[in-house]
Amino acid sequence: MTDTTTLPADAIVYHIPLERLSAYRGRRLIVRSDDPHALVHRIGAVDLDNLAYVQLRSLPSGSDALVHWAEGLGIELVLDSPPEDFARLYDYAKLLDNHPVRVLLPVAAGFEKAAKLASSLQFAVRLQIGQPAAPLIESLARLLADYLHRPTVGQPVEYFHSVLLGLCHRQPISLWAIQEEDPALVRHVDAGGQERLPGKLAGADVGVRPEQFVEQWASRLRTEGAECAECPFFAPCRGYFKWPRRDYDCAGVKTLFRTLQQAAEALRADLAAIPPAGDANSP
Amino acid sequence: MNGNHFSLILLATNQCNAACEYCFEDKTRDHLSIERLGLILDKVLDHMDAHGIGALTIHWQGGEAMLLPPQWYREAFALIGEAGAQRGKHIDHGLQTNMLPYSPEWDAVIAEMFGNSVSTSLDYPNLYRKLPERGPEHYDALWASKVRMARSAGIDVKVISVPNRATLEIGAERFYEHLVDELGVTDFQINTPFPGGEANDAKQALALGVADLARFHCELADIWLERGADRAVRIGPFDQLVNYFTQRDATLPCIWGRNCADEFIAVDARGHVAQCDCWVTSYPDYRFGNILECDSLSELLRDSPARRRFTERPVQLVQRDCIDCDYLALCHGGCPVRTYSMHQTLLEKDPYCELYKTLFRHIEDQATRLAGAGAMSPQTSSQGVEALGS
Repeated sequence: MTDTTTLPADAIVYHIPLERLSAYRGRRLIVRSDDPHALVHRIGAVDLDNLAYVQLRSLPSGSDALVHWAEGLGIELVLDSPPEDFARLYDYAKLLDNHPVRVLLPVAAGFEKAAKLASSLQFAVRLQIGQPAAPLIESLARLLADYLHRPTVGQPVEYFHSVLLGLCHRQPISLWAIQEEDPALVRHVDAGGQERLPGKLAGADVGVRPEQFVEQWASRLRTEGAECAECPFFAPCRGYFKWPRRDYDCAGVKTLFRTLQQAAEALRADLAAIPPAGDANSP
Repeated sequence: MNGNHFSLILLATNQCNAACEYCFEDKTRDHLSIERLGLILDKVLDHMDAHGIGALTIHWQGGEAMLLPPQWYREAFALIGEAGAQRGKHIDHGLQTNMLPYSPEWDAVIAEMFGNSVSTSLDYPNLYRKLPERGPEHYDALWASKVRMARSAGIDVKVISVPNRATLEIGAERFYEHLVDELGVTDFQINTPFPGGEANDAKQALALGVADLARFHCELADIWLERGADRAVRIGPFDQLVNYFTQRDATLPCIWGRNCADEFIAVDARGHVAQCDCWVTSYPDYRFGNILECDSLSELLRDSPARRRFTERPVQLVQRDCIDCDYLALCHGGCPVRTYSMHQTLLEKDPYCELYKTLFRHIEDQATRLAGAGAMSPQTSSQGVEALGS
């Protein structure tokens, strides 16, 4: 649903509050609200073609209004406080019958339980990764191992999933895009109608051409001899983990990249070993 | 309810011809009239309309469902078919019966209404299933003769079996031989026992050591994998677990659903509504209401405090130790009635937790080994018995 493949590179996607819908009609949109009923009542059929997905900013009791509304449309559920809210995901599991549903949760203390339950209920997961400290790296490593190896995890966990596929198929990828935080792809519109930079760039001064930010940032890190200069994972990362603190120690996230790279190589080898379809000599 | 599909366990009659000592039902002489069936059906279809649900499966049970005559089912089938067509609903039917009232008069309706397939129950050795004033041997002989008769008419007979202490004593090998090799049962499901309903001595004796029961399950799974899996023998839940662990489509039993309150309800012959057949006659405090006395099934379900206890159960359990389980995705705390009948509360995990974990781990290991050896047979698919089997 909401992976980067659905965010077109040729048009900015505006992440807007439902109240701003009329002002942004005709553009590519992600629409957010706290109220499932309001989404159903205010988004018309004419709007659906331009929707990348809708985001439910909190988990009020009852998701019935969304079950049969706009079937096939992606829904992202935001868990701001995963340790407190995660069990409420049971109330939203019925959405999966008719929608691709992803759970967005911050990588903070206690996020593991939410990620595990979300995966167990067959929700996709998007991690707001930030610049994780060492204890969180351990939790992320466990989650990555489950994502890679446990049959009980059958849905994507981002950013792991897109990085794995990108490395496996040797396709160019960018964490900024995967995390929907590249200003060239996504703009956040606040309740007052002000356009902001997305995600962790919100409030930052990135110059007059925000759409060029990622390339300029990556180039600057390399030329200034930061840790990125020698990093084997610079291509998919593009300095993502060096924002906002440039002195962030990437040792932990590199272990995660390394695990993903090894898995991608193993997957590529497995795929190469599959005989072509219709090969009569295959066992 | 599930977004696109609704399952209704419908007790056409609360009456039973058998007197099985471990039965969880509080049997009465009530049965559904066609008129009452029509009233129930209208409210079920209204509920489906209100929730945009397009498909319905009616699991006919009792009591003993075959105590109503074949002609009653013909009328019911016509009524339901007409009402479903008018509302644009797809409606399927399944039949759970002890087979004892079966005669060739049933063949036409079984073929037309139930796709020439029925599900029945048999334990081995049989300790508890019997007719009034008769013993288990008489029951077994009568059951076998009826099943033979049905099979000779081309009816597919699936079996649910509940292990008891004698089953564990004879072991998985002998159990498999009897069901598969001697009785020719090729599609059956193993259910765990529970002392549902009013207490009696037989139910007190149902309790089995979980470790012993786990060993039986694993041994039976191994025997099936070695001898039956590639010869069209299906044993639930093993076959579906193999599918699950090899990343194929799997229909796991209702006891392991993410929340059975989202999946189905039961209605008995008096119109009482409850979570499933294990609850509807035996636990009045856990009924959701009466469909014949309400204006709207949707409102009844929405407003029922009893139903809320079911919907809340996995939410509560996952905040305790279930979240740490490797197999949370398969189980979600297990079966409410097994929990309640042994712990007198819904807010505990299934008493067979350790059995399930042992079985999951065992099947996962076996599936991984078989997949690695390229020895997997085509996807095992079994329908009906394992989806809703008490």
